[in-house]
Amino acid sequence: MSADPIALLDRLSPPPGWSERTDLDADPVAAQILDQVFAGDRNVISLDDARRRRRGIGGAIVVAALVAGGAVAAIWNRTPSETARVSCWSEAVADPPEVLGLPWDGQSDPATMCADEWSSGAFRGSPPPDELEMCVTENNIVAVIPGAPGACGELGLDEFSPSPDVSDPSVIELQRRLDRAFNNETCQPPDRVMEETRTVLDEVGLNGWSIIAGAESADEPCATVLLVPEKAEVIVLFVARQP
Amino acid sequence: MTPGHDEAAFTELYKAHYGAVRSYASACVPNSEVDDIVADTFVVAWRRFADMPDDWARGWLIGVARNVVRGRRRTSRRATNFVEQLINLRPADASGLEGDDVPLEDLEVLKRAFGTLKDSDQEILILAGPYDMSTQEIAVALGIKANAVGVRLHRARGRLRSASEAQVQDGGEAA
Repeated sequence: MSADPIALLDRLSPPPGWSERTDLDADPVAAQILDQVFAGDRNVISLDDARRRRRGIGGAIVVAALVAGGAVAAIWNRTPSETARVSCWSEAVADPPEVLGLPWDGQSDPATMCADEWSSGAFRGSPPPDELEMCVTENNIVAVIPGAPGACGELGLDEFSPSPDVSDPSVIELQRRLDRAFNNETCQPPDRVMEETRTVLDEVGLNGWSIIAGAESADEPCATVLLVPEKAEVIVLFVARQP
Repeated sequence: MTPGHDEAAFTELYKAHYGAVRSYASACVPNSEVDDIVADTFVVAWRRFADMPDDWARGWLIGVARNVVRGRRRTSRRATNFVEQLINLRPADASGLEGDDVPLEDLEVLKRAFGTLKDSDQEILILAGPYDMSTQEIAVALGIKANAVGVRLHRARGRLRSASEAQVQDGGEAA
């Protein structure tokens, strides 16, 4: 290498826009984002939502599996419909003064995520509360609120319990078999996933179950599956290749 | 609107720095996630508008964007090689570099060497290099003192030089 790496690095150009002023009339995306910010609805990651709708699959399912890397995703006890996001509330009141929306993989512990935000001073530097409770809001979003056990009920919210609710031995066996089949590789070919899932469903006797496939794309060539026992469905999702 | 917030002032700030936040996000995440990083960054900025340092708004916003990216990376488990992103982002008809042509092998060595550095080294090198941020601006973005920026930058540059030499040596031995 003939060039000094520092000098070479300094000559790299940042992506466009670094020093540019934005004309909102000429940039509809920028204008839309600003509208969302002022409207206060950016707690919902709306652009992600739009992508999920294009896939034609419920949001909770897709996002929960995105980081599964081939593993069979867990089913939450009280399944929120919106698992793209966890809301961290600044106070345990019905209309908290500050709500922080965090992207969520559907598997990480929401309370830990919000505790990290408290620790990093996200709520105007306020110290973390002694206890956090996980609730599910009326809009089916996981909300982590300061408070002791029972705090959710005091606000009229359901408690959120991140434990699997799979009591049918056949479903447990299905999950175990699919986990074993797909959990060792980060990128599963869709054809293999579909075929293996059909085989396992037959073998465990879940003949009434459906296999529903999302839309494959060049950017998302890997398949993973998610079980939805209450609907007797196995969802095959197409996700980006994990590094 | 939250009491005490000034939509007109925030809109001016947004116009001034939206491009910077988008540019930073573009180097950190895939294109499909850039809009969300930008939006989440300005949501936080709007909520914490009163806390924003007037003189170092861009650095402060980059710091917020950095936290948003880290939160998202935690969920995606994706590491970022900033240089790889920057090189990949260059337009098809341009080198992505300012000035004279640079041998592609040098870029490859830089990319590989950069990839061996820890995230904190990559981050400060990128902010001081391609983004050309001042020491004070970086300090605001990273939430550290300006003196610490100087020390970290010096050490990171040393590690990049060592890593580049190692890559050249490995390449020579392999040949």
